[in-house]
Amino acid sequence: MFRIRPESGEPLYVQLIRQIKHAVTAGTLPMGTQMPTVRQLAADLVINPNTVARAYTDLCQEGVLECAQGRGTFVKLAPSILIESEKARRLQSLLDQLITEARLLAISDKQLLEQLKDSLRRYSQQSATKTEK
Amino acid sequence: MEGPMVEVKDLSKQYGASPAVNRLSLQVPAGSLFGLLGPNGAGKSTTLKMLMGICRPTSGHANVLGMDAQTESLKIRRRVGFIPEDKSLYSDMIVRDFLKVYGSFYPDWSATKASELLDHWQIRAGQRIRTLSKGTRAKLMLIAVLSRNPELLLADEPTDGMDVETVEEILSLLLRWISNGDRSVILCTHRLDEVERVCDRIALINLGQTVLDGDLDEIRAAYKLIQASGTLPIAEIRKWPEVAEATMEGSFVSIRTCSHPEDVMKRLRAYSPVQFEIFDMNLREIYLCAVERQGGNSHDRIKTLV
Repeated sequence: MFRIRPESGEPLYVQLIRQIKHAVTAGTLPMGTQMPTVRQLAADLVINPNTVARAYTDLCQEGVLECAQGRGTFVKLAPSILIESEKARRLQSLLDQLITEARLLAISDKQLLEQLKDSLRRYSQQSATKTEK
Repeated sequence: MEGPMVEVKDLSKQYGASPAVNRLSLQVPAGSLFGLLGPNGAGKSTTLKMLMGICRPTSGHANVLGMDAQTESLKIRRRVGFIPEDKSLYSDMIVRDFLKVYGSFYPDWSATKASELLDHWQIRAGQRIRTLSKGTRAKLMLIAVLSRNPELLLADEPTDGMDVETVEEILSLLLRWISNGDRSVILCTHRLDEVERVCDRIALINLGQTVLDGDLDEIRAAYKLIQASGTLPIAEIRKWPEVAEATMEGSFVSIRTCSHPEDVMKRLRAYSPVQFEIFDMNLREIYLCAVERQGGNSHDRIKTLV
């Protein structure tokens, strides 16, 4: 279920952390799921066991996973509880993209904010109509 | 074991007037899949041979599993597995007989382990080695060496010329083999994509010298590409110690760092650049950058790697 792209230059443990978090937040790895052992996952993905161990350790520290001594590693977070840092991170890259595009099109920050407010208003109206139906 | 499994200090080997290995130093900790990288003729195979005590260094010192590579070569050969560059096997023997003969040389031989691995790869013991494919022969070689229960494996291009699937199977086995933390592999190769994926530590050597070595994640964190445009003092930037290389096209500057990219970013911000981005570099880019920095005079040779 995980895909590692070594040629991207992004450290492999960072890629793995990102993908595990994604699977947890998306509900693909529900709370309580037992993770494969370091040895198993390393052999499956054909990556170094130290890489997997590092990802697991970081995720345990962040509270996404739980390392139960001698029993294995489990998913600790329920999908609904998005990790704050993860929420911010996912949004940030989209925001960066939006700002770059806006600058490229010579749209002022004020114009951008106005447009964003309009869109937000439209969205809340739409969901309101849906609820009425 | 405590301390590094392999410790090499200022190791040199001279063939006639030309140095094959030139004051090489490196350390391999336990539980590591260590990538020894370099173009053809960089000195990789010579280094492995010196570690096994098969060839004598001109100067310097190599310590393997706490033993001196020159004076305790026999003991080292018993505890270290070696897959040489030349992987020819006795082609007229059948697999079972070959393993029996091979195993008889080693006191720690495990016939159980050998047959487990044969099963794992579905290699029939009654087959004649001559009739095996190149990939299967490489696997058989690995089975023989690992069934000796060595503590350290030195593998010279173990996946050279293999198809993708065989490469995956071999690397996967090596990863499983080191994953209990007290065994290590030195993987000698010029396949950067493999190394980038499976190794936790690397040493890049070129012309017998270390160009770059250490923990791969730390190396990745140090080598970054920063692109910015604006009025930037390129001549000064080139002098910054963290900068390996900086080029300018018009007002567009590309900087490759070799340490502390965040410090470079901080200093660049003072010039309020218009656009400002930081990118990861893959091992190929890092390699080229490190060699360039060393005063690389062998660009053509490096290209054999990429």
